[in-house]
Amino acid sequence: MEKWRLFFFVIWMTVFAASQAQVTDCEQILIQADNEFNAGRFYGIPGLLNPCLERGFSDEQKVRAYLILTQTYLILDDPIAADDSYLRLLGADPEYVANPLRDPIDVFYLSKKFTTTPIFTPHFRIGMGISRPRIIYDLSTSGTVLNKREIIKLGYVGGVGVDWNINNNWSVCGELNFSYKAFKQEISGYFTDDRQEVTDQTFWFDVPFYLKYSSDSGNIRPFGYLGFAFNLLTSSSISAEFIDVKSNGQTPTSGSENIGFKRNFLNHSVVFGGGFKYKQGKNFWYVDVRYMAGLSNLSNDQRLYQSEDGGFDPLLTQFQYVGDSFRMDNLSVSVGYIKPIYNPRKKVKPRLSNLFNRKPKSTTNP
Amino acid sequence: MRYVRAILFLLSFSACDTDQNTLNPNEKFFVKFYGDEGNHEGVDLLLNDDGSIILLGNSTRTNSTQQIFVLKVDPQGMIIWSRTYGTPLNENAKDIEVLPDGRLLVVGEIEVGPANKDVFAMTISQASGDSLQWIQVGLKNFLNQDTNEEVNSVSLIQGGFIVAGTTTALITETPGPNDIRDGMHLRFTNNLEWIDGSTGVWKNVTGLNNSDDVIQKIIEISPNEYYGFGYTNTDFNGDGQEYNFWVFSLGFSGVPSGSGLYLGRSTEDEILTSVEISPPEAGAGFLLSGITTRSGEVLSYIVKLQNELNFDSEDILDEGNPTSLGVANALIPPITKSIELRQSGFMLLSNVNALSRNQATNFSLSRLTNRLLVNAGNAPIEIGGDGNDFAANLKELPDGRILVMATMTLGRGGENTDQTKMVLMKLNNAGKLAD
Repeated sequence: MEKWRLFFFVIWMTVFAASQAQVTDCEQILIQADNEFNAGRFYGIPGLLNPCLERGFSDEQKVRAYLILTQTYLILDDPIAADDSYLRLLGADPEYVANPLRDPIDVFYLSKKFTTTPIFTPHFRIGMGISRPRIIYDLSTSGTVLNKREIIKLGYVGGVGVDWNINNNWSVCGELNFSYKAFKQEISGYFTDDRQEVTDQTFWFDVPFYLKYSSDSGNIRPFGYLGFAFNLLTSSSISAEFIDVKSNGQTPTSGSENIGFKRNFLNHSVVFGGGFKYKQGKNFWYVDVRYMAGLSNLSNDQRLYQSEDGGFDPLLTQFQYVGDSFRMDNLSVSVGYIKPIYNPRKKVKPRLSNLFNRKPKSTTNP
Repeated sequence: MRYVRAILFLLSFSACDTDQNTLNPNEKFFVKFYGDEGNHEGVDLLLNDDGSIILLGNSTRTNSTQQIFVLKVDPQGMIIWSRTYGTPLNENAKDIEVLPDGRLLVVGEIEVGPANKDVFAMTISQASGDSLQWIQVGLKNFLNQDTNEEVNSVSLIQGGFIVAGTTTALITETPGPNDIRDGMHLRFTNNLEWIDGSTGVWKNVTGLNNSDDVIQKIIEISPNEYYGFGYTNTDFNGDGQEYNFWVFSLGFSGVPSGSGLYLGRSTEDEILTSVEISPPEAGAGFLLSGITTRSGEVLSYIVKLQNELNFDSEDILDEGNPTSLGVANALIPPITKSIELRQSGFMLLSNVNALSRNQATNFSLSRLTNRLLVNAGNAPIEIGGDGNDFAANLKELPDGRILVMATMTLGRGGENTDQTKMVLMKLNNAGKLAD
């Protein structure tokens, strides 16, 4: 057994030494290439670096190698090869920004032709929120004005999104979120002393679209956005209790009912918010605070007093329940993760500006 | 242009639903329950020209006698004022009208003792709900004993009003075995002064020979002529004693004149429960509504009579049994009310026995054609919760929508949580709670 251990140890050491030798060799190659460049012997540099570029260089070494190649091709007056080398440099490090204080000025000017800004940036989020009904018409089965008290209920949200980046700061964004939103009302004053408690529970698919501005430098990058959302109400139910207060005690009647048929499926809202991104490596974590102000009446006013089969709604006599005409606002706090998909490329005109371009009139010789 | 279209498309979704651009649902439909602690019953309703509504009912609080319950609500059903009136005795409000000077007039019965109810009438200020005047009248029989009066309606006449119903103060000293009750028509001035029958100015009671006679309503045609509507089991044609609708005429002193008209099948008992005057737009006339029982099944029975009665079969414009009200059950009040609609057709409100479907008593609304038939596209609409619910009355609003008053049981039926409340519903012209 001891012999086998020794044998495998020797094999491992041999492989390790070989890889280290290769690393050491490529580093030596890089130094040699640098020396050749400084000595003005340019023609041999690509051949010298290519083997390690294909296999052997780390990302950091690749950046140094491609920087040497870029300068070499610029001096040899081969702009296509220079462009290609710089593009490969950005492929190794998408966040490389040429600096005139550090890099040769011709490389700096060359770098202005390129961008690595991701065209699309996916992200996902998860968070919690609270909701509040914005009453359009306060409806009830009572002939008197009732006392209403709202109680906050915690909801949750989770989803995915993608940013379409116009430039380093501006993006047009879309998301698909699944959320649970709830609120509770305690209403007193029915028949003088009786009261009602109703918890409204809803499930949604929210599809917001918004224009976002975010900072493009630093480890902590604030952002803000404003836009619009389609809100698809997929499920709606209530838990209700009516308490008959008598002089000799209280008697509650409680139950739960699905009321999805009393609500509108398609709704819309204004969405705005902001937060900050924290850079970790090439990716980001973010914290987002969002307010979604409902624009549409959630209640289907044609079904206020009807059961699902179109008859008299027993909720009216069981719990004195008839829903208000209302919109719903939501405030949420989420954390998320952004994984930019870098795409080194030559710069073109922003796609959004194409919307402003008129089609050229066709000219046909008679 | 694409840019403009894109902006307009987005702006179309930015519109916000508010009370400025969204109709209040209560303008079209509502369901409102009224009352406080205890049980409340809906009886009748009035429409004012300004759109406000007067509601009449009865109220019984825990450890208390039954009282009169009156509310005034706005066109959306919100209470303007709500009051309870009465004495330490049980009162049972039956009808409400508006006097020419705007005062509300409420009539009903007051339970003085066992099998001894008197008639009461009271006036209320419509502005404040304050009680103004009260009168209580009890008849006596030939033995000077207190008798039992039951009120069915009040009708306004020139200078006063007539309270119609029944009494056990029979007109004959020697009643037959079937002479249980006679029809009552007490006359009052607008100042709540009773015109005592003993003065000879006005006769209080009308009855047929050896029969149970009930007067539902008296309608003034002129100071010298009044039409009476009710039901009786008098054997008018030798076929035996079964109940029929009974239409007759009274002279200027309340004395019957001429023969009467009896409506219904000879083998069935027709019970009249309401009389309405058809609106001029629908063709003037009298609409009589009630029930009949055929082979154990309760059916509605509706008759429209022409405006000027000859008290013969020529008076009948339409007649029918449009709806079934379920299996006969003595516990279900035979409430059937119908109105003729201004545009066309009729609306029928009635109690329905839903016990066979393991449900409680409900009430139903039926939109009938001009020929008193159920329209194929408008099946009767049954309304009710888990407990027992009873119809009271209905009115047509100027815009064609329907107001229904009823009594509904809150809770889940059968539980000791249940309480009854007066309910007012605003429905569309088909009797539905949605368009």
